[in-house]
Amino acid sequence: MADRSEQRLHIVVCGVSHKTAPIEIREKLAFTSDQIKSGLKELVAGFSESADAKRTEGVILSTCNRTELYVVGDELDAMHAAALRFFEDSAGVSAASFMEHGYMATDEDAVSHLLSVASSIDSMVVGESQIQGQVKSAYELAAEEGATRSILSGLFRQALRAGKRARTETRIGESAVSMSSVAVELSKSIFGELGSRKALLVGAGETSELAAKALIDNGVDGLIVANRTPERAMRIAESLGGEGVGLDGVARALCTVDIVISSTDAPNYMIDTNMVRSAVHSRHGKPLFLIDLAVPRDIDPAVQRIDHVYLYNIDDLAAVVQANTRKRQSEVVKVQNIVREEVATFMAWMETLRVVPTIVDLQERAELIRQHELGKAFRKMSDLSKREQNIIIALTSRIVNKLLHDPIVCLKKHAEDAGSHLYLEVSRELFGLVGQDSSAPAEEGQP
Amino acid sequence: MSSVLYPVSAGVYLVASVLYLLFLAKKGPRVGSWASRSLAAGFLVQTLAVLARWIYLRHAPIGSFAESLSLFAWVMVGIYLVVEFRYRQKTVGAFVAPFAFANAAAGALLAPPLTPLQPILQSAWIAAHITLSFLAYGFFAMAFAVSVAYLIADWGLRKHKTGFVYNRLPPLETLEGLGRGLAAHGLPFMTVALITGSIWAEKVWGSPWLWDTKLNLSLVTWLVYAGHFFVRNTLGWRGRRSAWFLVLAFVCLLVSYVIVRVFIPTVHRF
Repeated sequence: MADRSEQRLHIVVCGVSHKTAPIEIREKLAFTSDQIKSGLKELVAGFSESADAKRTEGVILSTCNRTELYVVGDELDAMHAAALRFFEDSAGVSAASFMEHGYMATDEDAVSHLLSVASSIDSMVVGESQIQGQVKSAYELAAEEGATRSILSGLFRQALRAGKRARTETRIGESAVSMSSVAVELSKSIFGELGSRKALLVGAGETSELAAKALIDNGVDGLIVANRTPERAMRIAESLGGEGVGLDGVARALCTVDIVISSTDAPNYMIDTNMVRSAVHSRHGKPLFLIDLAVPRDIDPAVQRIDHVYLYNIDDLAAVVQANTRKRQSEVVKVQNIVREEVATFMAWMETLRVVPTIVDLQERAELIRQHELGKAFRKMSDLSKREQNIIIALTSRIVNKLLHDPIVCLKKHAEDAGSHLYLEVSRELFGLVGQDSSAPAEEGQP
Repeated sequence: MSSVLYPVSAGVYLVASVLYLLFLAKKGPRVGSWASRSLAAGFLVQTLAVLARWIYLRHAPIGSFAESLSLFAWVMVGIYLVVEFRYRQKTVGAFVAPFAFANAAAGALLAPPLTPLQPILQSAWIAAHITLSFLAYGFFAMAFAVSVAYLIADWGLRKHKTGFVYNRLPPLETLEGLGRGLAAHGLPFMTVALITGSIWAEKVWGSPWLWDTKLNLSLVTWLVYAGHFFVRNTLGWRGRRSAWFLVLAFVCLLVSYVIVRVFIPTVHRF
């Protein structure tokens, strides 16, 4: 019988992330799902010549923060070599380049890495929620391609569990940490749900347009874009979905919108107290939320003193982002504790897997002996009735099961011990499971 | 039986208070739904207590200060549960539940006497007067809680504050609409309460009104709330001004309800 349990399965992660590699390297490794599919086929085919190719597994995780390979196999060296080769062949990243900008981790370190990634504490924006879905999709894609088996499926399941725990048991994902999401959150804390709210975007710029888009994504259903050049206003309005006006339309627009984002490069105030006062008056005291992203400021700070007006300038928003980021950081330690717990759970599970081949071997060997002896006995007692035969069959079965019960329970019990491999070794030797040479006499003359 | 149920309901309100505060801290949806459920359970228990007492005494349990405290808690929780159901905001529960607990506990501790009702109180008019007064107070108390929350939220937004409390308050507009609606609901109840009280006063004291501190202050309170309704709808007062108005109005109410009762002699004492 093939001795399968001697060769340990290893988990290896191999990759680059925003923490180790610049964008020039990362963008070479930004794989599409088609590339991932063919990559997986190649990867799995490339390992482990000696043992069962059936035991190798692989998952490729590719996001804007990282590209990583997770592989399971028996030969560590072969796996490392195959991974490096894979990066070279599929992305033109030389082994030397990879060694400089990438990282590799094995077994428990690899497990810990994936669980940290899934819990979002390795992301550029700690606490981001996208990674959970990305990890899930990466696994599902690999599973579809038949590149995964029990180890990676268990590992990724554990990773997703860790991610979920991190998000529900800590405040790592709470509160906005980007200017746009802070703008949305503040809007919601004034207006509640944003459906039927309208926004005004004065000027242009990446941050302000992002913020406007974020508001629209969160329900705002009316956008007016004002710009010095009406054509530019209309172009921006078209891409975001709204109407464009010139700067002279700002005063009127103020009366109809609830949220204003301003970022022009004008040196003076675009929105002054008079405009705001008459807007508030015509809105019958409904709140007006003004976001001033411009430097020099577009909105006269004195408008804050007007009732029903809330003004946040770029510093105010940045302060909120900072405060929230600090809050998330302080949650990282809690998440790390969760990751540690989940890693321990997974490693214990992996240990129990190790005893399975030996248990299976044990049962198979016992069954082989039983069948052989049954055959011999029935040949000698050819005049037995069906009923008598069944009794004897059941008898042998019971004896075998009872004899094996204690050893199997013992192996499972000690699976997580430090000395479990000792139990496995001794069991294999005791029951004659070691290799093919020392097979028991029953192997000879099988029917 | 009711003497057991009252403290039990106070106990359940305590549990609800803890859960609501936990919800405020962690915002877990499961904690939130358990908080609501326990508050509803407390309300149910207290309803049973009120009914049991009613049956036992053969009159509505409204005769003593202790009973009125319990009743106040009961009305507040009832109103809050409806509001929570409609607006789906559980944050205000963290104010209401402890308040209900305090009232219910005080009511249970003061151990109202199980005596027959004074003859002066045996009238449908007085029962109506008391019930309607409590309903009005319940609405006004909630309007007060909501207005305080509004003022805190508004201050946080104007001073650009972030933090534990500010992240957990309901949106400004929601708080404002809620305060406005609650005060508006309370006013008609108080109006009819005053009228029924007056009718009963005529029967019992021979005059629809007496120059008494409590009665005068009640009238003042009514005027203040009516005034709020007026400036709100006619002058268009909103936001901070409206909220402060409701806060001050509730202070008036507290003075006329509690302070007078405890410290100042009044005919309105039973």
